[in-house]
Amino acid sequence: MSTFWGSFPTKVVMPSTSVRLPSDELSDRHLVDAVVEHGSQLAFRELYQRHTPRLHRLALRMTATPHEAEDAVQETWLRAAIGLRKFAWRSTLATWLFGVAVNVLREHLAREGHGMDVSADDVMLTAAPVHETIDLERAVHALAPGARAVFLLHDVEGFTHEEIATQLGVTAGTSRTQLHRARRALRERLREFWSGEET
Amino acid sequence: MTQQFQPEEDAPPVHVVERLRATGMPDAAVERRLIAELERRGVLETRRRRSRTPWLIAATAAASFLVGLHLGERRASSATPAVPPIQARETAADNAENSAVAVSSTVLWF
Repeated sequence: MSTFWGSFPTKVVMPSTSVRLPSDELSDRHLVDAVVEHGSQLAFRELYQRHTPRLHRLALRMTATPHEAEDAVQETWLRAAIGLRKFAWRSTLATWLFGVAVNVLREHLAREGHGMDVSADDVMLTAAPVHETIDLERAVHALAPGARAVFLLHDVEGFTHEEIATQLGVTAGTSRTQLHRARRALRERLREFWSGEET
Repeated sequence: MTQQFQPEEDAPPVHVVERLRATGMPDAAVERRLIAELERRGVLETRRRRSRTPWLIAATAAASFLVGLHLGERRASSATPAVPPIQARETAADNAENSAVAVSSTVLWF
């Protein structure tokens, strides 16, 4: 009897879930396949944990409040999860996710009365205050949405200009120009902080 | 002093980038709401449905049936060697009944 029970598997692997493996052993592609083919919650949670920190970072700087940023992240994942079946892997999953996030944020900004014009010449929303301490977060928020998006996607999240062009629907040359203007504007506004002195 | 556009020299300092990268995850409630919504839309499997998949029920029923047969065989082998035909038929009937009880009790349990 004990031999019989000893041979019976005590841990059953469900076909719709994956045995928990270290995240670096499961590529995005494996996880996406598990979500699309089996609706695997485990795989989806792994994707969520892997990519949300960066999405959240972008959303925090493109919206006015943490609550709006969380709504944007949730909406991004909702659209992404539904659209995963059609994702053709012409880019990395991260690039595609950020493209979805940019669209969500663009719609949010439009509802707030702001556009995300990436080709705008003027990259600052407000003139620099004369006698006020400027911190980094406020300076980034003072960038116009289009320039802010390019700066965050390139310098903070590490996307190439070609990837940013796809995400924002512009050319790589426009992305480069906007990045240069955004960096210059931030450097001027944060002169002391930029050179290494805390403000 | 006007500088020509040099991407590498133009890049923000490391401490600026590190500050901008120092943000965490959204509240855990965001993930819970998201999962619930995706379950509702049928994009993700629900946990409830996953625990009652037919194959698990079938595997448990089969295991119970095999245990019932095994018990029946042990009772038959411990009896006197020469079993009259009528007693043999009764033993087989007992085995079948034991197995049926095991299967039906498993089905009832589910």
